[in-house]
Amino acid sequence: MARKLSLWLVGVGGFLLLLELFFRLLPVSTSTETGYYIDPLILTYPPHHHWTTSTGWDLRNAQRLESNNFGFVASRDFERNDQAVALIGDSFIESSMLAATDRPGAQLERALGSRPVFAMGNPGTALLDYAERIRFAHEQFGVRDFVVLMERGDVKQALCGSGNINAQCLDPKTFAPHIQKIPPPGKAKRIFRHSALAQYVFGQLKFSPQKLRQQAFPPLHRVESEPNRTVLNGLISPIDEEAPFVDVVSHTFFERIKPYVIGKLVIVIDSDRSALFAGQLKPEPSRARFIELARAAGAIVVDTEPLFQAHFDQSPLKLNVGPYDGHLNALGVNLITHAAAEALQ
Amino acid sequence: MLFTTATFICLFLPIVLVGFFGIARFSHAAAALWLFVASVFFYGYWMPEFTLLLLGSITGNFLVGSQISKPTDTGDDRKRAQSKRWLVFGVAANLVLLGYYKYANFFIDNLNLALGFDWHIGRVILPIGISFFTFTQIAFLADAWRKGVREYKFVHYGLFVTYFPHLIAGPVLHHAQMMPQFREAATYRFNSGNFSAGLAIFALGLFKKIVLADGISPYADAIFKMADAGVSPDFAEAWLGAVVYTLQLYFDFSGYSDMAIGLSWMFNVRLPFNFNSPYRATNISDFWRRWHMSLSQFLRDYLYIALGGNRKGVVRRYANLMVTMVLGGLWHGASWSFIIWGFLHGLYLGVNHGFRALCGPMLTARLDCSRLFGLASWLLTMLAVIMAWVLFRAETLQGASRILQGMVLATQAGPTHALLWNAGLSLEVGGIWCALLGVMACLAPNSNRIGDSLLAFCQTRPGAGALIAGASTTAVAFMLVMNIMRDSVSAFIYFNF
Repeated sequence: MARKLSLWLVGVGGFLLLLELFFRLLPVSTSTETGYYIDPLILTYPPHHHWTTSTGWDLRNAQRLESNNFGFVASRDFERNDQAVALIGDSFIESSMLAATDRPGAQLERALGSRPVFAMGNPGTALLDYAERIRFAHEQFGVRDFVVLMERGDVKQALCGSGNINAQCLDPKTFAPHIQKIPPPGKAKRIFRHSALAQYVFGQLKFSPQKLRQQAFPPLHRVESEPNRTVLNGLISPIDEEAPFVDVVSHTFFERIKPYVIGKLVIVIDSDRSALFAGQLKPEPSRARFIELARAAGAIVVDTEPLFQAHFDQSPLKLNVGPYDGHLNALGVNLITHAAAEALQ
Repeated sequence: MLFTTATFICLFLPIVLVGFFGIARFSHAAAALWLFVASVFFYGYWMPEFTLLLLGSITGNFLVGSQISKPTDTGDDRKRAQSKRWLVFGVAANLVLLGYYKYANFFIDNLNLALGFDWHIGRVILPIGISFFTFTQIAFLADAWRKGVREYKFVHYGLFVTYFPHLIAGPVLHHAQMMPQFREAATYRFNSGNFSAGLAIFALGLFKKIVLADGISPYADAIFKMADAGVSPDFAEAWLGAVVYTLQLYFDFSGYSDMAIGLSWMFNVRLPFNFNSPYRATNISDFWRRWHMSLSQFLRDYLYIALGGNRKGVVRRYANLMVTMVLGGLWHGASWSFIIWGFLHGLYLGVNHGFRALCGPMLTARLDCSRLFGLASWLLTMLAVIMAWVLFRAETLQGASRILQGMVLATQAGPTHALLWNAGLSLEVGGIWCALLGVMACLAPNSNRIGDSLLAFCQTRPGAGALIAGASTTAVAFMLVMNIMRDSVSAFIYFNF
């Protein structure tokens, strides 16, 4: 019996080893090793770090990435250049699922012609984190012109606890400013990041015991989802209602960046592409309010709603990466970078 | 209950296994009853409202079967005629039941359309597995009449019909394949070799379903759904969609069959193999000997031969072939696309038989030895099968027609394939999936051979069996986690039939 049990355990271990070797051959996402390397309020990758990224259990849109000299996924290294344009945003800027030449930084640089673009995207960040990168770009590189690509949830996500904060945020009740930094990884995570199998389970499958329990043994009668939130492709889009945080977050953002935006500030605001494609667009008062405040603060606002609508009027091609990923695809990036370049010029 | 869910793998299966072998230590009859009750629970867990229908069907067929096979004096024509009347009644009752649940809406809809009537009977819900348990029982009645097959124990009969590994999507079983096993004392003793090999084949089936079939399915869905919605695919998309579905269906259904066979081995019961590398077939007759073998055998034994087979002249032979295939198509579902799919296969078989008859035995033998002819006939067979699968998959005839037109007309397409683009998929990655799965389907050893080798290996070397059981347990656990964490658990395609 003991021999059988030992052999059974050898079988378990052997198969795990096989899986590890198998996943090492596949483009499983590898560790990004993010940290506050360049600034106490800006999370980046280590400079010149290499890693792999892919989406979902079937490893879609796999890409090999490399960070530049300041730890950003950009098509060039950054250096002092007051002619450069800083492109600020979250994972929409990084667009790690697209080929390097299709990413916003590369496309904007092509659209601008002669000016270098410093793509400073950072996944999982919101508006007040963008302000820190604007500060950094001006102080370090002398950048005067900025393009900010805003996702629809970026204003609300600037409230502490949204899960999309790297440093700066506002208390959701009092609107008092806070710093919420990403804690360094624990020992277990530092060990597991060296295993392709663990990266697959925790990174690609997003394994969590709680989710496993919920999905493995669902209640017989499912509880209706919250009425005020719709989850689309992993991006949470609030059913819009004008809220006081819009004014406070916007005011804080524009006050924070005022000393650093010497030239132009172009804000490209994403829109509900799925609703536009389906011809079922609903009004979004908080989005409209932000546009109003941005214009009042002197920003050039590129509203993507008419831009995308014009596209859908003449083309059947969608602008999302796919039903499984709501980021802009290469065509969507092309539309917004051309609009941003036009606004800059 | 799906074989791929945690409820089945972590709760149902261990409880039923432990209960079965535990009870069998005291009573084989009680263990069989336990398995019968567990199988009924397995069915009722999904569709509790149809459990009574299932039990009613089993009871009715058991009683009719008993009447048919009542011991008779072979010379007594009156009793023989009475048995035949019971047979006709039993088969008719089964067909009426199947007809109502599966074809009533289709029949009424077409009648309304053809004659301008406005009849409504509401939407009839199809009880899952009805085609399989009905056919299994029709075969039992036919065997009872033709071969005098008789079953005295209701529990054994109920277990033969409901046995959970095969209940929902086959294989379609013959009474003679199962009953001796339920009577065998060895069935009720835990056999670690059978368990290990069964677990390994179950894991292989899970892999086919969860990784291969579900992995490739987004490509088929992206193209077929849009074609059904009125958008025409371009040439590359149409071919990709058709080839992808060809592979998805094979890995989905053969994955299910492997799981059923593996599960059954754990209970020391052997189910017949259902696939034998069908995409290696070099002609359409060969294909039907390798694809869904238990259904093909059923159609041959209980329909084609019952219609006269090839015993009543050339014309009747081809007509019988066509009728058998059209009804085989209709068995899959109540729609014109299944009927046309069956008709196409009837036509293919007719052409194949006709060609062989034209060539004569000498030339046919020579052609069969030629590698070039073998390759050409494999290509032609695959082309015919792929084209027909388009009808099988598309939900509307218009959708199928759009895909077939795309495959044939080679319309000009730009660099962007709109249907794939909008689904976030790429033609190149789809092509790589197809190449990988195609190689596996056509060149890799099939799971029947793997299973038999594993079974022999585990039974002769208990230590190795434990090793394989460890690896298989890990594989099953890993794929279960993968399936659960993906947010969507897809059912098997053949559950629809």
